[in-house]
Amino acid sequence: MSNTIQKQKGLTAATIKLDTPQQDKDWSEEQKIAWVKTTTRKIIEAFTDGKKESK
Amino acid sequence: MAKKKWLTARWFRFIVMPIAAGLPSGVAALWFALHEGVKTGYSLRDYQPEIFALTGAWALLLSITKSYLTDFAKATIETLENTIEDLKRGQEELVHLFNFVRMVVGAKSRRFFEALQNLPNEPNPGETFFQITRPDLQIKQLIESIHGFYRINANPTEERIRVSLMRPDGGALIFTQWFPDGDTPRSLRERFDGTTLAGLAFLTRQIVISENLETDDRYRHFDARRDQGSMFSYPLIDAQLGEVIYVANVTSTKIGRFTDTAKQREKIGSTMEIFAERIILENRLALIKQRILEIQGGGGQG
Repeated sequence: MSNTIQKQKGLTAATIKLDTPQQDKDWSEEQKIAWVKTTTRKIIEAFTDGKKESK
Repeated sequence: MAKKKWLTARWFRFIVMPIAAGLPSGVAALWFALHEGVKTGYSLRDYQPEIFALTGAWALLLSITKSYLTDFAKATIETLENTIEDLKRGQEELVHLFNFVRMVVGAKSRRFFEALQNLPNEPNPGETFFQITRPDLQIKQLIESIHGFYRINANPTEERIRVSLMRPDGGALIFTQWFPDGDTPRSLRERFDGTTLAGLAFLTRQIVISENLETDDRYRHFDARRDQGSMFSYPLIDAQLGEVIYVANVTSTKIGRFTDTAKQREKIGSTMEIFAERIILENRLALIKQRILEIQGGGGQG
């Protein structure tokens, strides 16, 4: 299951991902660790570099 | 801090400081040069060696002060760098923790979705409740997430992490869950009393940490070869029941991975509290299911 809603907001489009980990299938431990590492990096980047992107 | 900015300004370091160091010697030299050959009395006439010695000492003192300030600045920068690293590590660990909890939520969400897909035309609320609530699986997921959290930064070739959950049973503790699945505790059928690490955590309601299992009398070895590594036992207390319902053990094959310091205790406590809250919640759900089954079973007999 992979639900993605494209929501139009004037000229910008926001993608809302409804997926939460492990909803799609049973993951191996390695997949879970890899997912956590990637997601952690993305969250930290979003909170620390968000201002740079908005410029 | 802002008021001291002039200390590091280029004009201060390259103009003011050298002038301050060299000016007295220069003025003194100029003074005595201008009065060379003058035999009548003039200021400082008889103190020429002392004046030059004093101006030299002044330059030396300034130079030492500048070196000291440089050392101080270096130490401050080093401390700041370490603090930033600590903050970054802490930030990363916090997000790891958050993501491992998301894993558990994801598994539950999937079960709900499957229940929705398979919902019959005339659903039975009781059956649906039993279908979507699987505290046993959720507790297993939580144990796995604890394992993942402590494993994520461990080198798999150098360190192995094991997590187990014990529950009280007639005055002793017995294993109820563990992860990895294939790493079944060798002491699976043993009972752990109040002299063991887990037993002490249960009795004292405090985290118990062992930095070196091999030399720790509180750790029970079941093989001729003594286990190596470190571990902690964390009591899960249901505040409403007022009881320790489980003891979670996290074991590493690395000696000193867990150290018995106030900072480590606080860190482990804060992390485990997040998982413990969810395990306690799932345990309450398990008790509800158990109670319903008992009542239904009793009703059926009557």
